Order: sequence, then C-alpha cells, then structure tokens
Amino acid sequence: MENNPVLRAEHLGIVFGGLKAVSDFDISIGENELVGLIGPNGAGKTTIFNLLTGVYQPTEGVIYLNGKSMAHKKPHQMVKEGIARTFQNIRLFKELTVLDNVKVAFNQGMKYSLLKAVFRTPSYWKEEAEIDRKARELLAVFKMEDMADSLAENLPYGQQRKLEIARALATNPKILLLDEPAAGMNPTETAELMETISTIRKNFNISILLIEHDMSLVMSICERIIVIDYGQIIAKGTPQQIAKNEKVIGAYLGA
Amino acid sequence: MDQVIMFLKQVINGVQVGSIYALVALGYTMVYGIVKLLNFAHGDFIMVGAYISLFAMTGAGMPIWLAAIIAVAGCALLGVLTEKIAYKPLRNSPKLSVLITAIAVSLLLENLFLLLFSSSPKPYPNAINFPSIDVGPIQVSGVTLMTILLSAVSMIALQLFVKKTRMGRAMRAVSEDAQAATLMGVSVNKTISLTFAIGSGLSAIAAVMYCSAYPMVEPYMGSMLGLKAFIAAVLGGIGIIPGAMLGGFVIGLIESLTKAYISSQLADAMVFGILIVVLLVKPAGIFGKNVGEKV
Amino acid sequence: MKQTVKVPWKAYILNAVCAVLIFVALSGMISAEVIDKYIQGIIMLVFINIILAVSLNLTTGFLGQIALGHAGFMSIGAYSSAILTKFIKDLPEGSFLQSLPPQLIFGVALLFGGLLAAVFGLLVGIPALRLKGDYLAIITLGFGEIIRVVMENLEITGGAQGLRSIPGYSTKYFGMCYWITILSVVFMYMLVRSRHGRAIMAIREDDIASEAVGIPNTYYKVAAFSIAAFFAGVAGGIYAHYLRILGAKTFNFTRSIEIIVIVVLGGMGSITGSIVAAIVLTVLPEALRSFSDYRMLAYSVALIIVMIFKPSGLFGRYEFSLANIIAKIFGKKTGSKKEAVEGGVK
Repeated sequence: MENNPVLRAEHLGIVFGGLKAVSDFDISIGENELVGLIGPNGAGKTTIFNLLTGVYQPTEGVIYLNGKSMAHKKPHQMVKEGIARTFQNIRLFKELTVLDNVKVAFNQGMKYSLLKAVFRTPSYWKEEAEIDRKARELLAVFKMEDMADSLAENLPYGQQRKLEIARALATNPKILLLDEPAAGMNPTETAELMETISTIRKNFNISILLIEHDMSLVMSICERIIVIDYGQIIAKGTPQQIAKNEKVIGAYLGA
Repeated sequence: MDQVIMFLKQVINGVQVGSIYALVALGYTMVYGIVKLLNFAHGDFIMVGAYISLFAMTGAGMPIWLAAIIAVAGCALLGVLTEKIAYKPLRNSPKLSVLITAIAVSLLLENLFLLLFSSSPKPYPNAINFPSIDVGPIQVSGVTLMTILLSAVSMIALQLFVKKTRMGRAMRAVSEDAQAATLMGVSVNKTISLTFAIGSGLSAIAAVMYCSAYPMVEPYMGSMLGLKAFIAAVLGGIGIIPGAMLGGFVIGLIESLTKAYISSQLADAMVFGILIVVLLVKPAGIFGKNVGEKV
Repeated sequence: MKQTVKVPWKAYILNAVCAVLIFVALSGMISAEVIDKYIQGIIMLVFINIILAVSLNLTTGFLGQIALGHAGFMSIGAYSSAILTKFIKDLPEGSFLQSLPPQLIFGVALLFGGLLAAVFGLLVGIPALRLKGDYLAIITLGFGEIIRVVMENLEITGGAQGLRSIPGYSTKYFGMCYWITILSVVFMYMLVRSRHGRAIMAIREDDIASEAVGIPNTYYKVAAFSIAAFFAGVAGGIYAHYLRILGAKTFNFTRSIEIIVIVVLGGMGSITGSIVAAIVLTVLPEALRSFSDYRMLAYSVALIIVMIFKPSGLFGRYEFSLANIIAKIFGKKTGSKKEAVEGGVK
C-alpha cells in the first residue's frame, strides 16, 4: 500500500431498501496507480462508483480524497477535490458542441461572476479565451480538435467515449474513474482506447480506477485488481494472482 | 352539538366531493402509471362527459342511466382518439413536448366547447332518484350515497381487473417495461388504448355524479376538477389504485373543511399547499415507494 | 494555437445601431401619430410578452425545467410595483418623494417588483427544483395558483375589487419600456453565452453528468429560476402600469400557459424564437380580431401540430445574427470563429 493514497475508503457500505448492495468495501489507490475493479453482472461495481463520487451517500464508512474526508459531500464538491468519472451508458451533453462539452467541465476553475458575464467585462474575455485554448488543447490530445464544433450526439460511438474521458480530464482530477470504457467497442477501438488510457495516465499524472468486462484489457493494463461479488470484495491482487484465484473463477462461472 | 352536526355535514360533503375526485383520480393514475403522461386533458373529458350526458337527457329524452352509458362510451372513444392522434406520435419525445401537447389538447377541448355551446352554464337535470337516508339528525342525500357507492365499486372493480385478468396483467407489464412487454407478446398499443378508454370512461361517470350534485355544465368545469383529481392521484401515489381513492377523499375533506372553517377563497390554495408539502416530503405519495434515477 | 475568442466589436456596434434606429423610428411614428394609441398599446404588449417569454425560456428552454407558474411571479411584480407608485402618487402634495422625476419612480418600482419576484422565485425554487419533469410542472403550477389566490385576497392588493387607478407610466414612458425590453434580451443573451449559460444548458442535457463534472446543479437551477422570476416581475410591473387596473384572474393559469406557448412555438433555447413568437402571437390575434373567438382554438391546434411535427419549435435553437447576415450579403468571409458563435448560429 502507498503511504499517501489519492483515494481511500474504509468499510464502505450502502443499503437499498433493506438490501446490502455494497458492504465492507475497502480501497486504497496511490498516486499514478491503475487499478481494475471487476466482478460479475450486478455485483455492485457501478454502485461503488456512485458511492466514491458522491452520487449515493454511503450508509457506512468514509471516503478520503488526498486524506480529506468526503462525508456528506455532493458530487460537484467531490469533483473539486480531484475525482472525476465517466459513465457506463455514456452521458454526454448531447446537444452541445464537443468544445462546449469540455468547456462545461472547466467551469469550476473559472471565476468571472454572473454580472461580469452579462456586462462582458475584460475578465470575461480573458477567461473565455484561456478556456477556449485549454479546451482545444485537451481535444487535441485526443485527436478530436477537428470535431470541436460538431454536436456531441453526432460523434461516432468510440469518439463519444473518448470525449467523455476528455471531459472528465477537464476537471483536472487526481483520480479518474472509468466505468466500462470499452463497452460496445470493437477490438481495434479497444486497442486504441488502451493506448489512450496509458497516455493520459502518463501525461496527466493521474491515478485510474477502472471497471471493465473485457478481461484481456483489465489483465493487460491494470497493476492491481479488486474483484467483488454480491457487493463484497472476494479477492485482491495482481492480475496473475487474480487469474489463479479460485473464488474469482467460481464467481465468474457461477459455481 | 350543533357544531358537531355542522362538522359532520362538512365531512359528508367532503367525502362526496372526494369520491368524485377519486373517480377521476383513478383514471388519471391508470394513464400516468402506464404512459407516464400527465394528461392535462383528463379533466376536460369530464366536461365532455357532462355535455354528452346533458344532451342525451334533455335533447334525446333518455333516462339518466342510458345517458351515463352513452357518456362513458363517448368519453372512452374521445380518450382513445386523443391518445392515437396527439400522444402516440410523441411517445419517445421529451417530457416537455408531451406535457405541452396535453395542455394543448386541454385548451382545444375547452375552446371548442366554448365555441359550440358558449360560456354560459347550462342547468343539469336532477335525475338521480336514490333514496336519502337519515343518520341521526343528519340527512345524507341520495346523490351523495350513490357517488360514494359508485366510486367504491369502481375502485374495487378496477383493482380486480388489474390484478386478476389477462388484460390487467398486460397493463401492469406495459407500465413496468413497455419494451419487455412487447417481447412477451403484449400489444402495447392495444393496452394503452384500453387504459385510456377505461380512464376516460371513469371520468364520464364522475361527470354525471358531479353534475347531479352541482347541476351546472360549462366548458371550463373540468380543468380545476381534473387538476385536483391529479393532486389526489399524486397524494395517494401515482399508479396505485387504492392510493387514488384515498387521495381523492383526503383532498375532498380538506377542501370542504377549508371552505367551511377558514375561507372559501383559500380552498384551492390549501389543496395546492397540501400537494406541495406531500411532493416535498414524500414525492412518491402516501402509498408510493421512492425510486431514484438509475445512474 | 490561434486566438479564437475576441470581442466582436462589429456585431456589438451593429446591434446597438439597429436598436437605436428602431427606437428612433418608433418614437418618430408615435409623435407623427402614424402609430395611434391603440397600436402603441399592442406594441407595449409585445414588449411585455418578449420579456416574459425570454425569461421563461431561461428556465424552460435553456435549463430544461418545466415551469407553469410564470404568471404568479408576474403578478408579484405587478402588484408590488403598482402599490409602490400608487403610494407615492397618493402622498401629500409637495412631499420629497413626489418631487422625484416620475421616470425614476417608475424605474425603481419596476426594479422593486422584479426583486420581490426574484425573492419569491428563490423561495419557491429551492424546494420545487428538487423535483423534475411533470412533478416540477405541477408544483410550479401549484405555487403560481397559491400566489395568485393570496394576492387576490390580501387587503393591500385591493382584495376582490382589485387595485385601481395605477399611474399610467408605461404608456407615458414608452421609450423607457422599449429600452428595458432591449436590456432584458441583452441580459439573457449575454448570460446564456457565458460559462454560466453553458452550465445551465449542461444541466438540461444531463443533470447527473453536469454534477459529475463539477457543476453545482442546485445553485444554477435556483439562480436561473430567480432570474426568470425577476424579469417576469419587471414585465408584470410594466403590465400593471399599462393596464392601470389589476383584478382577479389577470394572472391566472391561462396567462402562464400563454407565455409557455410563446416559448415553445418560438423554440425552446432560442431567444430569437421567443422574440419572434412573442411579436407574432401578440400582433396576430389583434390583426384578426374578428376571429378572436377562434384564437385559443387556433393556438391549441398549432401547438399540437408543432409538437408532433417540429417539437423543437419554429426556430429550434437558432439565433439570429445581424453581423452574420450582413457578412453573408456582402459576400465577406465571416470574421473570426468566435464572432460567429458570439453573434449567432450555434
């Protein structure tokens, strides 16, 4: 374990209508680490993401971002503390342009007030120019600068996934949560995605927690893997250890 | 003692109005439960039902039961047609478009009837000859008894229909998941039509009962009535049949007691106030379960 | 990388010149009596409806939340500003407040009405905006009705008799109403084309995603709701000083519906659309007076048809841009990219 985990959660649990959806979930992710979270369908992976990003308030346990407690924080407040995410079923701002999708995510770093916007003061122009530049630069990292002005809904599927990651990165996170980024992609797109993930990890110096069904992807890029079933951790370890773990094999084969 | 009698009279009043709300709310709740559509025009179906039954009685000289049946048939047809023409093309559109269409249908019906029959209220014949009964010093009129009875019977019948019959099961299936229902061989279109037919038919019964108690028919009579019935449906938990019934009684009682003891002008504000409190405290209604959006 | 965000001076100057020209033309025609009192009244209603529609467009078109209680906020602005000007008018002759220029009194009254409406917008918005869709629609409708009923039953608002002999400032200071309308439109436009506007539109597109990229949804929802209420209040104030009498049913549910009809027909998310629809839907019924019985009927049929065949309204999300049109006419290449965005089509 790292000394200074970016994200740490202890005994995390949530109950829905008397049912324990997640219980006793521990996690600790260090700087620049890439961790995979896997498990059978309905095991509670997305619920864990929703807990870690503040969409659900945990009924038990605490989440720490850079050592700071996130108890009772709303999702947008947690974003400020450096956590960002993507969604399993892509959630872009469909009828905004690609550029605006990214610019929205820069909002929390911007300062000019509502009145300054209305009166178009110099600070408006200065910040808008800066954000425009930053957003275009970010799109360029994903080779999407040419699509800046098209509507997000008109992008091909793979590009939409990439845009969602770009948008998450615009919030300047220290840790990025990716919910099945390769879902619905063909092998070429998946390979390209794997490359993108390692580039952003290097270039942006961030940690990544990844939910994925594509086992080959998880096994090849993750340093550590956490396996859950029925809302509980059943195994932790390196890809090699996980591949041999009998509990994991059992969970996946339904034994 | 007088005060007690006065109070009891208001309660009976409230229960009567409440059972009319309940009848309308049943229709509302069914339609909302299945198509998730706030059918603003539902209240105006009551108005249409009132006019149909009025003309059946005064124009064609029919007895009230026959007039009521014709009104039910007319409203059911109107409901089905409205759905087919105005709502069906928008089934996959954003909520706002559908809601605005429903408001437009409501405006259309109101203004059409305004043009056809003018805004002056028409008297409704007093045709219900149901014996009144005396409970101690309080007389409960035949209309009141009949209204309460009819709404109770309708609720039970509806509940049995939804729980026990094939069509009822189809309805529940469509309300849960229309796509899955299609895959299971349920005809979604037919089920929705049937729901609109039943819901609108119920509003015709409500129309006859309402007009028997308050014998005036005019083009705008349905809008407030429909709104309050919707509030009743929300109060009880939208999509839940006994909830609509309970909600109807609660709204009726609150309204009648506010009119009697606080101010008749504030009765509507009070009903809306109750709605606001319920929505904020328990958005899914008294009988409903809170379900969050899936992320 | 090239600088793409620049101040579009050309577009600004063009628009300002255009606004002044319209003003000069209108006041010229009024003093030459080409425009009589009757037509002037219709133009006043156009101003009022433009402010109402553009402000409701912020909540319904840009924020994507269905609000059916706009008339309620309008009534707060109308009553409060009218009570203020009436109070000053009824002061003893020669008192200080009476010696102030009436334009100032009128302006302050409108501001007061708008601010009070905004406060109510805040009070209603904070609880109501926790709900979405139909439930929000019905709860805003409920709040609107409650505001109306309470307004009609207070002593200070004249109770059942209504509020009478309100000074007729709107007609007297026609030009002022014109510039207030222009300012309202400019305010909305500048707001929408800013980081705040982007945040508001992001909430409309996907409120879970907007929260997940750091947008404080509640803050923006309540802010947009209150701003819309503010302008509804201002419009109500102008309306009160135009009608000069406020009574029962002036601000009922049907009024809210009329405003939403303008917004929807014009195009949710298009300020241009709201303006054009406000003009057309105010002038047309007057021009076709002999068919006035059919007005609401035609409205409702038009609404249904538009919803089925063009649910985005007549203008969709298009914004008119003078600078772009002129550039096109003279065959010039459009200036910088940002100018196109700043001035027009998205």
